[in-house]
Parts: sequence; C-alpha cells; structure tokens
Amino acid sequence: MRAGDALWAGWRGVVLQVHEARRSSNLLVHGIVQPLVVISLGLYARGNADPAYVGQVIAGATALSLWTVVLWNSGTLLLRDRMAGALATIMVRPYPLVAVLLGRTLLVALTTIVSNILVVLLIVNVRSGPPPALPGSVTMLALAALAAGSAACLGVLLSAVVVASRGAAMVIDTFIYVIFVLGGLLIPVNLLPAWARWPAELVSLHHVAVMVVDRRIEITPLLAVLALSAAYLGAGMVLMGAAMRRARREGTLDLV
Amino acid sequence: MTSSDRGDLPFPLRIPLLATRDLVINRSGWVAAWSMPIRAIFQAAFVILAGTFYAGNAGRDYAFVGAVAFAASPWALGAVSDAMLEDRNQGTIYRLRLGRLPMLALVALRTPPYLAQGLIAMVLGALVAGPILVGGNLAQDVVQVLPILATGLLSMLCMGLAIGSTGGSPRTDILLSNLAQYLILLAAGVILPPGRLPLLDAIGQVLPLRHALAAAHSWLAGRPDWSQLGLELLVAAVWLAAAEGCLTVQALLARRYGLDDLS
Repeated sequence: MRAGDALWAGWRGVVLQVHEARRSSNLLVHGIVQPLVVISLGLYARGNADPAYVGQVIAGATALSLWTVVLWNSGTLLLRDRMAGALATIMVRPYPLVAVLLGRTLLVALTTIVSNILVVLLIVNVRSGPPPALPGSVTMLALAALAAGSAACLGVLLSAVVVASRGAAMVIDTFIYVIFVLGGLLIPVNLLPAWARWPAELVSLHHVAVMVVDRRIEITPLLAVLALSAAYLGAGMVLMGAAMRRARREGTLDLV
Repeated sequence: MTSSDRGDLPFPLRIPLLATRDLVINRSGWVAAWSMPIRAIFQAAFVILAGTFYAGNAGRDYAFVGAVAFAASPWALGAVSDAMLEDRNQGTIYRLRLGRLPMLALVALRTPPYLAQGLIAMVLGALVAGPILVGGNLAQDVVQVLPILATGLLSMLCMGLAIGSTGGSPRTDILLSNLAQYLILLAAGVILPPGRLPLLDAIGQVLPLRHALAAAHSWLAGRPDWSQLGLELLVAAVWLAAAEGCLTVQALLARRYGLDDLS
C-alpha cells in the first residue's frame, strides 16, 4: 500500500509538473536555446572538427542544459508552491511529499532530455561532415535514462535546500556557473588547476558525460552515478524531513 | 541622511539613491553583496575555459577579453530590465507616466546600482579570474582596456532598458533578457572572433559588446580602431531609441484603452 501510494504520488507529481511547465519559459531558454548556442559555438570554433570533439561538445552542452534546468525548475519547486500557497495542501495530503517531488523533478529532467535530443538531432542533420562520435542508440537511451533519474534526485536535494535554508533562493543562480566551471560537464577537468579538479567527482552528471564521451557504459562511472544519486536523494529526504518538523514546530511554512 | 534631506536633492541624485535603497531592501542587497562576486568570477572563468576548450590557448586569450565584458551582463542587461518591474507589479506605471520627468529618463536614473554592479563584475573578471586562468600579464593589459569595454556596459544597459520597456509580463522580461544574453554570447564575438557566418555576423552588428570588443582587441593588438567605439555608442543609442519607442507606444495605448496592463 505504501509503495502504491508513493507511485500514485509520483504520477500526480508528473501531472502537476506538466501543467506548470506550460507556463514557464525556462525549458525554452535553458533546454533549447542554451544547448543550441553552446554546441554552435563549439562547431564554429573548428571548421573540420573531428567526430570525437563534436561528441564531447554535445555531451557537455546537454549536461550543462540539464543542470541549468534542474537548478532553476526543480530547485525552486517547493518555494514556488509555497509562494502560490499550494505547499501546505501538498504537505497535509497522505501521500509522501518526497514521492510527489520526485515525480515532478523526474518530469523536469525528462522534458529537458527530450528537448536536448531534438536540438542535437537538428544540429547533426543540418551540419555537414562526419557524424559525431556518440554512443549507439540503446546505450544512449540508457545513459539518458540514467541522467534523468540522477537529475531528478539532484532536483529533490536542491528543492529541499532551497525551502529549508534561509536565503538559498536568492543565491541559487550563483551556483549555476560554479558547476559550469568545476562540475566537469563541458569544460574538461584537466583544463582546471590541479587543486580545483576534485569537485567534479561529486557531480553525477559529470560521470554520465564521461560515459557519453567514452561511448560505453562503464562500471566505475555507473557506480559513481548511482551512489551520488542515492546520496542526493537521501540528503534531500533528510532535509525535507527536518524542514517539515520545523514547519510543524513553528506553525508556519514560511521558513525562508 | 534623512528622507527630508534626500528630498532636497535634485532628481538626478535623488532617484539613483532611492534605486540603491530599493535594491538593498527589496532585492536582498546584502545577500547580493556576497553572492554577486562569486557569480561574476565564475561566469568569467566559464567563458575563458570555454574559449580554451573550443580553440586552445589562442582561444583562451581571445575569450578572456569577452569574459571580462560579458561578466557584467547579468546586471547591466538582465537586472536592468527589472527597473520597471515593481511598478508594473504594484500597478503604479501610470504615476511614472504622469510625472514631471520623461519616463525613460526616470527609469534610466534608476540604473546606476546595476551599472555599478556590472562594472564591479568586469573588474573582478579581470583581476581574479584572469590571473588564475590566463596569467598576470594579459590580465594587466585587459585592465587597461576596461574603459573601452565599459562602452559595452552602456549598450547592454540600453538593451536592458529596451527589454524592460516592452511592457510584457515579468516572464516575458526574463525570457527576452535571457535570449538577449545568449545571442550576445553567440554573435557578439565574446568567446570566438565574429565573422564566421554572414547571418550571425549581421545580427552581431547591432548587439551590445560587439564593437567594444573589436575596439579592445584592436587596442591590445597595438592597432587601435577608435571607430569601433563610435559604433558601440551608436548601438547604445539605437537600443535607447527602441526603449523610448516602446514607452511611447505604451503611452498611446494606455491613453486609448485606459489601462496600463499591456502584458
């Protein structure tokens, strides 16, 4: 019954998110325009770029896009619910809040991946020259699903951080470029000073991008993605629980 | 200084002071004070590293100049478009329109806090991100061209005013200012030298930063091309005229239909 409730809550979260996504320009800007610009710049830079480089640009651009949309859309989900007065209603329903949230962040990640795939297909078909070195379609779909699941877990953590910490919503955009630089998504970590290379290991999307560039699913990065995703989700649930206990104690959802 | 003292100040001083106060109180100015430098430095670092990734060390050195100029964009372009947002949210646009000052002048006088933030972002990009990623010598050279790059700051500001003057919903403002920033990144020669695709090249001619960056690169190469500075100021004037045009059309519509909510 509990698992059924969680699944139902996750599904309702997806439906809720579909309605919200219709009113947001975030997907257009960061899910379509951003990867289009980043990939185009990468292609302009080298007239006859080798397929491996083009594959690396595509993997990096889509990872950047996924990170940006997850931060903006998933990271501010609960905050927007609170501002709209809907958070209390969601919290007092018998369905688990984390499941609702996971359903919503999963939809955010999936729509971003679909929009990214459309951008990549457009560029690959318009561009002349050899096709980019990307994994085969089955491996690519598996990696896309892995990225979506991991991004959904990351979204739960970000959303919990933003709703539970004072001031986080005001500085959330600061972290976009921190991960752009240190996350090992588009920028190869070997371009960074040696002392700045370790944070990329904590970013699950970095490990997904590595597998896309290597064109195969490898055991070490796969385990890293799974472990980091579980850690994001676990930390998100702990934070969410703390925020809910505090909300009950203080009698207000206005925690930030 | 008390509010009565401030009331004695002339408009050109009083409005920027009030805008700064509004920024500190309503826009979480103190949180911005510590988060803004982080964002500016990392944004500049990203542009420099993207240039390195795309085009090696030559690309890195080229992109550094653009990184310094583009570091100002979240404030000089993105935040400026919000200069009228609060009036729109509160339904007080009509008061700006009925005031003694022309509406564009009044809104422009609210922008110095954003201009200052943009300038600080540029300096941080040059003095912090630069020495770490490209080395001290080039960073010093780029510091010297900051006055040239500041003309790009002015044109970004004018483009931000034009976007804020379109009268759309807050969501439209965010959409347009984000699209404008990506367009500048793509077509204004921020990361890569322009002129690779005719269509993008033509669009880039009317975008902020394009000519300021050309002037800065020519100065760094020892062949100063001051005509590019004139072109950058012309681009600023064009965007300012676009802002005035939008506000004039809105005033006409507001008089005709008797409402200010045109979104």
